[in-house]
Amino acid sequence: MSSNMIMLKSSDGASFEIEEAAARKSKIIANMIEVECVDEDKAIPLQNVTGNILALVIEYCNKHIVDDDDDVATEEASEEEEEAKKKKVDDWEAEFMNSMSLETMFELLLAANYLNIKSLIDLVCQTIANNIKDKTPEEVRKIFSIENDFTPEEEEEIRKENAWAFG
Amino acid sequence: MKRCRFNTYIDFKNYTGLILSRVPAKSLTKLRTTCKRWYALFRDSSFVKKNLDKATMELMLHSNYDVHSISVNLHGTEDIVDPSMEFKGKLGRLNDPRKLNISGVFHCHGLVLCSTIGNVRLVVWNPSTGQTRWIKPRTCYRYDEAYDT
Repeated sequence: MSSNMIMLKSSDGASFEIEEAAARKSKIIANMIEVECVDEDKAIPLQNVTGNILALVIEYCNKHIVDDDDDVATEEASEEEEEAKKKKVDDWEAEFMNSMSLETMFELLLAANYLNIKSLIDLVCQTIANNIKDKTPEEVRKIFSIENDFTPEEEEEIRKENAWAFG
Repeated sequence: MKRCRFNTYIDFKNYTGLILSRVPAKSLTKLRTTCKRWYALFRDSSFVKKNLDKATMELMLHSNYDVHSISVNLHGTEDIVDPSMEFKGKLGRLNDPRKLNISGVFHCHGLVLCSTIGNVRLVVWNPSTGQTRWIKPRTCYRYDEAYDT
C-alpha cells in the first residue's frame, strides 16, 4: 500500500494530512494526483469544505480504504467472513451517521458531491431518506426550509386525485 | 430543529431528487402535498423510474372482488434484508370505507383499469403515482376483448 501522504486544506484554513490511497476515494483528488497538479509540499485547497466537515470526510475515507485493502487480501475468505466484514462496515456506517445532526448530513452531502465520493453520497442520501420517510409534509417542509405554495383547495384537490391506495 | 442552509445552495434536481428517490413510494404519496416542486417531481417519469428501480417488486392479486398488493423482494435490499414476500394491503378508497367490489383488472402501459361489479363504474388507476380517474358511462359498459390487451 502506498504510504504517500498528502495535505488537504479546508475553506477555513485547517490542514489535514491523509494517506494518498484514502484521498483517492475522492475522484476529484484522484484526478488531481493523476495529472500531477499536486505539489508534495503544498496542501490541496478545498474551497467548498469547512474543517469540521472535511474531518468527517477523512474519517470516512480512512475507514473505507482499510476495507478495500482487506477485500484484496482475503479474496478466498469464506462467505461467513465476508458477511461478518460487511456487517462490521454497515455497523460502523450506521454509528458514523447516527452521531450527526441533519444539518451536518446536508453539509456532508454537499462536500461528498463536491469531492465526488459516490459511496459517501449514497450513504448520506439513504440516511436522510430514512429520516424523512415517516414524516408529515409539514415536518418535511421545516427540514428542507420549503414554503407550502399550495392553497388548501389545491391540497384537497390532490388528495382527491389519489383516491385509491393499498391500506 | 436548527434551520438548515441546505435549500439555499441545492440544485433541486441533483440533491433533493437523489434523496427522495431513496424514500419508499408509499411515503412519497403522503409527501406529495409538501410543495408544488415536489408534486411535479413525483410525477416526473425519470424520477418515477429511478424510484421504481430501487423498489421491491409489487404484485397485484385479484380475488373475491378485492385487489391485494403483495411485495416480493427476491434479492433482499442491498444484501441487508433477507428475501421476502408479504401482503402489503388491500386496495381501497381513502376516506370511504365501502368495499370497491372490483370484478375485473386489466393493465396496459403501466396503467390499471378496474371494473366494478355490474360494470357500473370504470376506473383507470396509475399505481406508481397513485392517481385515479373515473370514466363516466355515456350509456352503459359492455365487455370487450379490447380490454385484454
